[in-house]
Amino acid sequence: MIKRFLMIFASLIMISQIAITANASDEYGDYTLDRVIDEANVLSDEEEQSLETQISTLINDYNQDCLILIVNDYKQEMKISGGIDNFGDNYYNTMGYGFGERKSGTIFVVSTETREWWFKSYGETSVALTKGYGLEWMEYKVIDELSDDKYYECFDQFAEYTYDFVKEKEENTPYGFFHPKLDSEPYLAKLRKRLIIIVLLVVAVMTFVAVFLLRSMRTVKRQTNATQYRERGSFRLDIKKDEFIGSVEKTDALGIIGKILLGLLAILAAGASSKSGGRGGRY
Amino acid sequence: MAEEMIIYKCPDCGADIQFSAGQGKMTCRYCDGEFDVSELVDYDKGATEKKPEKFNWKDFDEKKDRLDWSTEELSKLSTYRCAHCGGEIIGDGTTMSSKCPYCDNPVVIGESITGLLRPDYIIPFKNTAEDVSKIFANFLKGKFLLPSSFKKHNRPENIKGIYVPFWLFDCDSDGKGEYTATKITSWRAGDYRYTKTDYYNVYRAGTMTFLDIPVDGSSKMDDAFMESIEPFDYREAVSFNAAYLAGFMSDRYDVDVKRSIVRANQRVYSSTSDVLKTTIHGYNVVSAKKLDVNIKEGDISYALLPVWMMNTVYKDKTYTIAMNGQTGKMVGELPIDYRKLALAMVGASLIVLAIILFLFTIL
Repeated sequence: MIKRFLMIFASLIMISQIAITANASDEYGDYTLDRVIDEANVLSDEEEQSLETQISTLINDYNQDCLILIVNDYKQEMKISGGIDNFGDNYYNTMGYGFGERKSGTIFVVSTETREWWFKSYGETSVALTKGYGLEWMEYKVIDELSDDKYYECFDQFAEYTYDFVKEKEENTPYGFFHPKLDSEPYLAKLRKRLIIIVLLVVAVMTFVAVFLLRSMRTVKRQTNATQYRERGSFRLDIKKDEFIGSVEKTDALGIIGKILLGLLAILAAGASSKSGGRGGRY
Repeated sequence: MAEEMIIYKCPDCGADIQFSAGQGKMTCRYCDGEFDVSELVDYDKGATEKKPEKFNWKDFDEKKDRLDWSTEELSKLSTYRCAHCGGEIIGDGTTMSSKCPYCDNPVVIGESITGLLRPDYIIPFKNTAEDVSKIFANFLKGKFLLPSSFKKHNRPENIKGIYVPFWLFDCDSDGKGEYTATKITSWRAGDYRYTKTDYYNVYRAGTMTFLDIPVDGSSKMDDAFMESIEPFDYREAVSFNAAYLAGFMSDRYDVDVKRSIVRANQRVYSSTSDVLKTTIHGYNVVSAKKLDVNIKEGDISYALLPVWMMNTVYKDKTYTIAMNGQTGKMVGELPIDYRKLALAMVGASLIVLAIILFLFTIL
């Protein structure tokens, strides 16, 4: 009887252990998954191993994930339509990447034939990477390597910077614009790109301020009409006729202004996508 | 025999327009506009007709219905002519004792006012010289660019109350305007922008009445200053009486009605145009093609209106300030501290830059 009871008790403990393990796997992520998937064969085995080691350090130290996914053409691998962002997002979520309830981690997808790249951070990692404009900073730092087809160098730096960003965040000194370790080069490059807009904006504000203040000093101004001497209620409209003459329809290729406006919209859209934790483009 | 060739112009872009047999319409090669022939004939007729504006002011009769100076007025008042600047002032002996209000030089010649036009109306002064000082202090408030030393130490000098001669113009204005108006619809598809422009001929005509448009009758008073202190409230105007001049100076008119009418016409024309244009709605662009303004029943009267004039000197430069002696409205040029201006511009641009940097950091 006691034996039976002990067996049942042991079985219950084993079942609960399995349940706990399964639950833990669900909550804390899957350590067994590959973190470097190179379907395009742009990395050597040694390079893959080296990247896996780097990412393991990140996972072990901070329990945050990092997936490097290299495909030939993401479009051929997608079952649903969408861009590389949808592909990457879908892959990360369905394959069980990420640690903790918020699936913390980051993904870097490269499609070699379409020459597109995209990265995004999730959960706690997005706090580390996005708030300190980390993804944008990394884009500036690593995408040039990608453009030169230096894939390993690019991913190596990506993994290294991700580790640094996460480490600073975990040590309560997250990267931000004023962080002493973060060089301002990408930030200045971003400013330089938009220098003309910034200069125009500043000049417009300076002109507005000058005109506004000077107008208050020069109150002498000739009248342009005699409207204030028009007798109230004296106006009588005798003729009111609008005749339609004709219409003209024109089709123009978008001019420089149109392109600038579209560019501004794109900048806004880029801002929004960066806000949601993702960033991508062509290399 | 020479043939007369009629060339029609496109109502939209002004280029020469040709008949398109295929479409049975006149078409413009430059803007692709299409028009019926009858429309173009009407348009062309309208565009070439140029009616002169009619400004029918009554002939100003100096004697008609106007009182002459009384014996008492003639005995008390004199005109004073400045030997230095030529300015002429009317006043009693006590008022006109010392200096020319325009150039500060001693006034030397006193003459009888016989022969001068007696004003129809006068608006008496409502503010005193003390009020002027208080209003001047308020006038300086909130003016960031004013030099601090000017604000602290400056006091207006030579405060003079002057009755300024004005011609007052009453009239009915009859305006008839023809406008080209366009409604523009635009949409984008791919890398192309499509724009549809509907063209209209718009006609408006109406009448309105103007009362007592003032035109400065003194060449010594700066017209810009005199128009800046408008408006005057004519409900407080009274028939002229020399008693109101006591303690004040009065400028004598030296710009006659004929010259002043030009300015009155400009203002009536501009107002008539503005009022007619406000009745046109629903278009993106409206441009006037033609505007005929006829003035009817134009009547003119002569009035003295109260103005305080003063000068203030800062760093050897004289600044003139004028104030409506009835409403207290003050205008004038003031010295500018250009360092403050630069500071404000730099400050504003730094704030904008800080906002941009902040936005760049968080985005």
